[in-house]
Amino acid sequence: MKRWKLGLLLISGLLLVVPTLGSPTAAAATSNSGAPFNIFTSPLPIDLTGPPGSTLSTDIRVKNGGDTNETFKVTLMKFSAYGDQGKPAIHDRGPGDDYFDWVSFSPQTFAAPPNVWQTVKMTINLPSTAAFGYYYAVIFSRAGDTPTHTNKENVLVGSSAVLVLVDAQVPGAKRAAQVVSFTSDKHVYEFLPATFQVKLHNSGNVHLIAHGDIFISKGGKTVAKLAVNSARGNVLPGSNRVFAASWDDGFPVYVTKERGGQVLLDSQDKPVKGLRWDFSKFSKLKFGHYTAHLLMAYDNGQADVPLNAELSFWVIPWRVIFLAIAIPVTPAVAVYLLMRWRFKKRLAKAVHGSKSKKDT
Amino acid sequence: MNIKRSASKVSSRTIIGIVIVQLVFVWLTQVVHAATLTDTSIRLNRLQAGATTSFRLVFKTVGAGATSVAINFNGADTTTWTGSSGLVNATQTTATAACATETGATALPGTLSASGSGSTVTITGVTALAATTTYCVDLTSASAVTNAAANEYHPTITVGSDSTTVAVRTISNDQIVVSAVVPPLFNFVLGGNTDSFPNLSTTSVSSTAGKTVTITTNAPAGWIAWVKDLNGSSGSPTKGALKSITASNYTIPTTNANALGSASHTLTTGSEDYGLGVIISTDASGGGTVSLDPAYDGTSSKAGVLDPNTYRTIASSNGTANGDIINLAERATISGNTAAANDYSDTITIIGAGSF
Repeated sequence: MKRWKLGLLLISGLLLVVPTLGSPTAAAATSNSGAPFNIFTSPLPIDLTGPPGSTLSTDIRVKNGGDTNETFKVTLMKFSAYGDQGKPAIHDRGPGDDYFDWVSFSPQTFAAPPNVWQTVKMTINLPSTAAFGYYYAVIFSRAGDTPTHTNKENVLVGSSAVLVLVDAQVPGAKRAAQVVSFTSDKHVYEFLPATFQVKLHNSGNVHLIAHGDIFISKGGKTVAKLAVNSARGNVLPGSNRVFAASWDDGFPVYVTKERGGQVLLDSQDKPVKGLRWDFSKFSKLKFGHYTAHLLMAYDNGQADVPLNAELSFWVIPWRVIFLAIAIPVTPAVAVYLLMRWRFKKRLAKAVHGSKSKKDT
Repeated sequence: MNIKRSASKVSSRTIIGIVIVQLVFVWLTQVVHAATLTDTSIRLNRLQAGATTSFRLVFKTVGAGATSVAINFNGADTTTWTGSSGLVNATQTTATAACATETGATALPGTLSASGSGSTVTITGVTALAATTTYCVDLTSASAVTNAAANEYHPTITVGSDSTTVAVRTISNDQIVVSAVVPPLFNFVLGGNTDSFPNLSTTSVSSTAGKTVTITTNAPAGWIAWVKDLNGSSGSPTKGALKSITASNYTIPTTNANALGSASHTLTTGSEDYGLGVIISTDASGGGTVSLDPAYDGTSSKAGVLDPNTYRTIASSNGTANGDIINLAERATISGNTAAANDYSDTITIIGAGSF
């Protein structure tokens, strides 16, 4: 075989081999970087309790909801509640957050074939110095998802978080909460719903759950009971949290309009409301002065501690009242006006007649 | 006179004889007609010993004319129903429509009335039954009988003069407890990873097509989503920015008048600005209400300042979600002296979670 032919064969062989050498690793790292990121996690949130020095663990289940193989990784962040409303916020590890070091995951990175649940064990080794609450956000994201910028393109990276609340039980734990405010969205309603907001403040050093009911009464008689925080949401230490409850058992009642399984939204993406006149619920027409009494409780570790608050509001269905008055009054007024017109007409005739007689 | 007397005696004897013959005939006739019912069954609606239950009776007549039905739960057993903690309730109610529909039998006719006494349930008010016809009736009281101890019993059913014995079984447990768990789930879907700008212009606000985030969760406290930006502007405090490597890491904006966390704003053409606008594509019905955070409210083409240091809330829901969808679009404007380059880009990280 001539040399040039041999050279061509070698080059051809190299061309076949070289791409297969480099591509698998690159593909593994960025295989689905442009595809939708679809992930299921369970459970949520997770509450763990244990004394200092103990080891806590929990299984977090993860599923790739996409239709191609993925590789997921687990990372750790923390969360807190911020602002007047106590909205949750997540943060990267900060200086002094050594409690991140107590946590390990197994596995940390794992293959995630489509529609297969994987279990990741989260282990927290609480040192003897641990005390009170620690709030972790366990982040699941695509491994090797190194964003590559191309011209004029933004890159979006998706992740899913599972919030884990840890209570390192020590004798000095303080569970205390107060009602900061108990308000209704209006003082006078024409029609229901009446929406109540309860703002709680956790003045202790451990998260707590407060729940209970709002009892709505009229003339000393309870007419409705609304659950508050039936989802058993936590209030983090040193923060507020607002819980809402809505009283909508009335006639007529404002409801959120829906179409095709979706809430109708206005131009500001706020739900569109409309009055629903369901006459089978006419007996639920509300009218008068009502009192809403809040009764919640939380466990302070020794006993249930009650939280109380009260407000009052009016329901005056003026349109219904106007109709109720107008229906009997309108015909009566119409008859009166008709009779008066006819009387005046007769009177005018009679006067005209007597005038004509006088003239003749 | 004697002849008369003897004639009278004869006739009396004859009459008595005829009467006796008739009585015997009637008795014999009755004996002949006390036949055995066929195709008869009792279906207890619960089989568990000690349980109270309604039951269904189905039977096929032999002769015609019966106007009553009796069910003696003790039957001819030695270990009887009532002797094994079984009871027959005094108050009984009946219905026939359902059994007729379900079995194809004829509804037991008449203005039925039923009562229980001892071990027997008696149904009266039955309109005369036809011969060789299958009838049914439901004893509908939930406590028509209290089942005797687990065993086989043989109640006797008597319809007029016909009767039969059937087998009824009670068992120690007749129910399967079905339980299921619906685990708490959170599903987060980011519709894609790249989002392109058209050429940025000094005379219009440019916007990416946007990418959707779809959230499905049964978390009763709802969900929340945050974003964080990669690039920081050169100003202080640093804010999210588009950055060009080829233009010496030039950022849009270099500075930004709007504060981090302030309400979203409308971008002004002719000056540098960049931000994220979020709108609600779908607030799925039947769950919580989706709310946009005012800082990233993208309605009316507004945008909010991105933060390269802290995750900021973009939207949340106060309850479960059956496919809530939000759309994230980036918006930008430039000034006349913005450095020209074709590689302005940014990276935004979005995290979703079920609320605590």
